[in-house]
Amino acid sequence: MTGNERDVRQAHGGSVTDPAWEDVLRAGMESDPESGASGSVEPELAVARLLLHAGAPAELGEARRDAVWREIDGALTPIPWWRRRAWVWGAPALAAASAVVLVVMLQPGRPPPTSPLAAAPGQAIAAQLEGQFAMLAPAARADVARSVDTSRGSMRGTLLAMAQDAETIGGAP
Amino acid sequence: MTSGARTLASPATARWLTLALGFVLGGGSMLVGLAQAGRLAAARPEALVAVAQMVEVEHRRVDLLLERGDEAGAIAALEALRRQPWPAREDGGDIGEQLRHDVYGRLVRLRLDFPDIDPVGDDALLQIIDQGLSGSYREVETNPFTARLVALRGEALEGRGRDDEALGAYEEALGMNRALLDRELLDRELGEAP
Repeated sequence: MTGNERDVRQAHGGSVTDPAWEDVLRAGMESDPESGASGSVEPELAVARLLLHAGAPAELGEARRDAVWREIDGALTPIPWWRRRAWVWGAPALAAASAVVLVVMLQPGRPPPTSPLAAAPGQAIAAQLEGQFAMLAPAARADVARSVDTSRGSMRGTLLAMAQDAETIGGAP
Repeated sequence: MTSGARTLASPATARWLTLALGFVLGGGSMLVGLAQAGRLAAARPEALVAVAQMVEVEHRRVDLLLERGDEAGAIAALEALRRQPWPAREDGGDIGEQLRHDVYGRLVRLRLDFPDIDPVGDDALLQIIDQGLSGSYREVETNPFTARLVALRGEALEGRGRDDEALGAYEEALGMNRALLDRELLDRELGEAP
């Protein structure tokens, strides 16, 4: 400890824990360039602060501590999904797209079908079937007539055979 | 060069055409054979001939009655014909069944078109149709008369609000007619083939 420093302490009678003491020390260093000291006293002051803190840790005030914990909580707590930026911008776009899809699917202008025959009315199907019958019936009637003729020929043959058999039996001695 | 390419292409085309024609003829012959095999022949030809003559005469009478605007008389004539004894399928074959379906179909058509003449209830009409189809109509060779009676069954069911059953009957009738039209087209193609 230089004589200047001792003088400063004696002159002010302060403690090293008092921030005013540091100011007095700096002022003494600047006002007495002849003492041989050069440079800054800041490194020594930092060491002194560290030693003081290690000896007796300084306590934070209640308000300051709460503020620090709030900052820590804010940094650690995750943001809820509904408050994320993607949702803020994406939700309106998603809602609009859903509305469009709903409108396309429901088609409010078109009445909903009430029965299986509502889409294709039964009257129209019945008329179509009747038209098909009118188209197919003539050929089918001709086919039936041919089949009946065949049966008639078969029947005639059977009758002739029966008649011949009867003649043979009747004419036999 | 062009004529050379043409002479090269012609035999190949002719080969393909011949092959395709062979496929068509073979397939057609097979279908005709299957159709004939599926048809049940009349075991009693005389029964079929008798009923066919009776049906033919009555059809002509109904034609005349309808020309005169006598729908009531036409319905009465067909009702009387319907009540005649019909040969069993084993006796009259598939042709006998077709004749019966034709008569029932014509009667039901008139009943649906003129519901105020000699009215019958919906249930009674459905009973008439079911009696005409006789439950074994699916075994009969596909023909327009059966298809029409099935379609008329659909109409009667639809009139009663039984839409699902009506739709089934319509689809069945449409399927029958589709098969008949396919067969008709095939017969025409075979008839036109050299």
